[in-house]
Amino acid sequence: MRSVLRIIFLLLLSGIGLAAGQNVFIEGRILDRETRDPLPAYVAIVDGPGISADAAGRFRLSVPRPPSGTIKLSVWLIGYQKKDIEAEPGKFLTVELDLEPAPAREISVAADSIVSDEKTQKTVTLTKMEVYTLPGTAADPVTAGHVLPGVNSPPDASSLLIRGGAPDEVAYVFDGIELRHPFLSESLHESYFSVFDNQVVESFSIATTGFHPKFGDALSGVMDISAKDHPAKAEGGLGLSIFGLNSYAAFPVKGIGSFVGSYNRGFSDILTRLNSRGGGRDFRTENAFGKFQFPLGRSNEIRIYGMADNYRYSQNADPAFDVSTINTFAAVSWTSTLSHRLVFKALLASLRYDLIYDQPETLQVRSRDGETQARLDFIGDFDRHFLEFGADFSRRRIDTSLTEIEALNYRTTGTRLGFYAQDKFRLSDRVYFNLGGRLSALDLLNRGWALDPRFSAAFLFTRRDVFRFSAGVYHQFGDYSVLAANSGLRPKTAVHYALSYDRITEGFDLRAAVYDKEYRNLFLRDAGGAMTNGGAGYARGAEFYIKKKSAAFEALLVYNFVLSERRENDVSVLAPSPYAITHSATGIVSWKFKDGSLGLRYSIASGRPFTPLLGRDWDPVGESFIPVWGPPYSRRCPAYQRMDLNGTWNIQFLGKAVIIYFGITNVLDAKNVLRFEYDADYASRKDQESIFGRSLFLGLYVPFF
Amino acid sequence: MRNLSAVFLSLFILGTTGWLAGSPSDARSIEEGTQALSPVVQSIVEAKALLKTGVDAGNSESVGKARDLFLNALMKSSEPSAVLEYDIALADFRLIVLALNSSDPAGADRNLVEGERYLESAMRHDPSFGEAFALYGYFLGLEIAVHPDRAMTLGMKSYQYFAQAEEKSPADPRIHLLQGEYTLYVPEAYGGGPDRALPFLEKAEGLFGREVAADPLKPDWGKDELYVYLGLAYRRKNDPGKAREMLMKALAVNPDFGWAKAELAALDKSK
Repeated sequence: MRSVLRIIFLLLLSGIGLAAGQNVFIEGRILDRETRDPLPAYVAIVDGPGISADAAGRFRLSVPRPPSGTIKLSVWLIGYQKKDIEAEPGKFLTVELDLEPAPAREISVAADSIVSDEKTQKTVTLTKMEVYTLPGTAADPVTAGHVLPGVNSPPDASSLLIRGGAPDEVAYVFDGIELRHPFLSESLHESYFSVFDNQVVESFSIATTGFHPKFGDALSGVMDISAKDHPAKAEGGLGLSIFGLNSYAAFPVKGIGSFVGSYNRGFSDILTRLNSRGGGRDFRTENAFGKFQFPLGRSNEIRIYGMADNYRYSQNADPAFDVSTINTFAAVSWTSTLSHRLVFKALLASLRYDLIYDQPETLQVRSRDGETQARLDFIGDFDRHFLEFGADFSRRRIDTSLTEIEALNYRTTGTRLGFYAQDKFRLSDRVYFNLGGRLSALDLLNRGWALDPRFSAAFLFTRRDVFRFSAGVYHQFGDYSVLAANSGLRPKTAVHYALSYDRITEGFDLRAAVYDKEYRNLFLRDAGGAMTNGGAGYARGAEFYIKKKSAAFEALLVYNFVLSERRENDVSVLAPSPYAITHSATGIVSWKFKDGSLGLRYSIASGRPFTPLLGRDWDPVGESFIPVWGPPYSRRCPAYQRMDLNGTWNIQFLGKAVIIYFGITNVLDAKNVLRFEYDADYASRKDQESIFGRSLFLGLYVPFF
Repeated sequence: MRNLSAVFLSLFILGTTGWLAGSPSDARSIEEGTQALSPVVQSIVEAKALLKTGVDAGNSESVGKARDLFLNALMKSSEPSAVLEYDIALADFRLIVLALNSSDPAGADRNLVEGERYLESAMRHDPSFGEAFALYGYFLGLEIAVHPDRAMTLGMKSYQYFAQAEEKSPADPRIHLLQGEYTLYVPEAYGGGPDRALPFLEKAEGLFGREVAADPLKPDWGKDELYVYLGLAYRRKNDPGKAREMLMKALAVNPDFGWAKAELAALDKSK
């Protein structure tokens, strides 16, 4: 018995020894192939145990000694492609992993500027919060867009001048609704704000080229805005400033859906008095927005929208006049998730814009622009392919009544129809394409269908460095009253080519871009006064944008260069474009403190082109002076410059986080001349300066909930 | 199906040997009880037990080992598993909290990034898995803790994920627990604090009372820490008696829960 026990004991000992002898270690390091960053990936024996590498990517795995000398391992980290390798114990192993290719939906292929907080778009961003915090943005998403590359607008205009294009070459789309009148005032020089309330905006993008074929009737760019949806908890607040009040509320309604809404009221009295700017000018604004969302089951949703905007402007003298506009829309949309890969959206909207202009005893204008829009959109997400197609319809009626000596009434009606399709697809791990097109027609033209083929490509040189190329044809039908009077016209055309490079890393965005935009079929008046498609032009330029962001500060620099000439309207020779701001640059620095922030912005830009007055001739027949103009747009206004300062201070008041904010516009009180006006006899010229002299703005915001 | 039956059987064995009550004989019981299971299920059962041990003791090494076992199970699964991805993220969640308690934000950031990715994948693989949405909402809150400058954008986003989670799985107690935890940590001026957290935690308490752990592979954690959070909420409301009662309840559910013991000791010391 004792000998048996001894044998068992010896066998056990030898077994332990054998087991110990069979265990060997595999050591190594796991790296990202591209960036050489260490990866804390998981390494496992095939059909066996495994271990995670440490933060330095190093691992030491105990494995049974392989009879063949090598052992099969699998290495994996989420977001990376799994790798199977054969390892030899005793040899230090270096494993390189490749990222999983991103699904097509996550890559921005077109060379555009996008505003979003998504991490995977690999394009320059301007977050919705930056619309509030950056100086000189007036908490307005359109005004904030001026700091994006490709937007050449002088900071005084709400309108976006994109890559040398005219302000009306940009389409403004709000949750799929095309807004023809997105500004409180439609003048390039005196519009202060857009009708979009940043409080109800979820995200927005400004496309400077390569924009989606679902957007038509725009030659230069698209601003696409999405309203907030699905508030998860009640939020909102009340703001009071020297310009009036703003309020916002969003909340879920248990068992029904949700609501998002805002109401704002503004008046210039205190603002102008505080800043000693009377001038007999006064304006008031009022804006209300509401959006209700009702889920129907788990896969259908109905949304009902409404917006009403009222703007009144009065001038006491030189000349005295009143302008008021009422801008409204109502819409209903239905979204249906047909499967987890296919979504269908339908939208029906009714829009109305009323303008009343009264210049006592001289001129009265009444205008109503009414439109019905409908659209159907299908979205298919198939990982490698992101497919979108649909159709849109618009019927628009413009009634204008002009009373000078006698009343003149005009009515124009146009019906537009469009179809589009686009496939954004991944050709390889690094190459993504957008291939699409749009077919559209307007009955006012009687010229059949206009086809817009569009193509974009993105090459992910590394995951941080993206090259993009876009080429496409864009059509715009133009002013309906001009088309109604000239039914033989074709739509205006622009052909875009753009090449851009983006470097996007955590807290750092860089873009460099060059582009060429060739205009054809622009409207040109012939010698007989009829409008033709004989106009043409070009805009060529380059952009540079850099943004650095950390927890404590943010710095941004954008520079745009554009050369543009046009032969258009009454200018029959190729002349500098009135929209070409050759050089424009903006620098912003903002600091964040524990209880507040401070921001400084400086913008400088070339002056706008204008046509010089060379002299005047006496017309004995009309008994008045006739101006003698120089070459069209051959001179420029003085260079534009403006410095803005803003700050916030967060305090606790009655248990609420109250924000007190201030802004000083045009700190240096630079006199920026935007255009010139002449006396009736053309004997003297008067500078028309920007209304943005040095002004102080104060306000506070109290959250409701 | 065979695997599930084997799990039920093993669970019964483990239950009778005291594992469910978290007895000190855990490791031996697991070893014995899981021998008959497939390697994948075995990894999961072992991982869950190790995770619990690690959380009880505040031991990041055990939690890390549990995470490795979940990873191993996921790697060897023939199909994507939203629950396993959730389990890995849950281990990440524990590691983040331990790293933050050790003032190691860099360590927390690593697990934060990975945990979010696993949850994004889990939500994609099973869009009806409400608990993954709730945990993702909580991760966004943790991201704010590590990167305070992201608070303005992530704060509302996290609430959206909680709302989606509740819509998908209204009777899941862990969704309400996570919302309660989150709300407790949010400053009162921004809509948080104990008064706003308590309704969530109390709702979770009611739902835990009705929960039947039918599938041991599915998430079953949280009842013990619910009472700790209730204790913390009452302590912040200056109600030490109620806080003590809740912490005692936590220890009744899980006598090995180190955090409950520590909070109880701190409460007694503050008297």
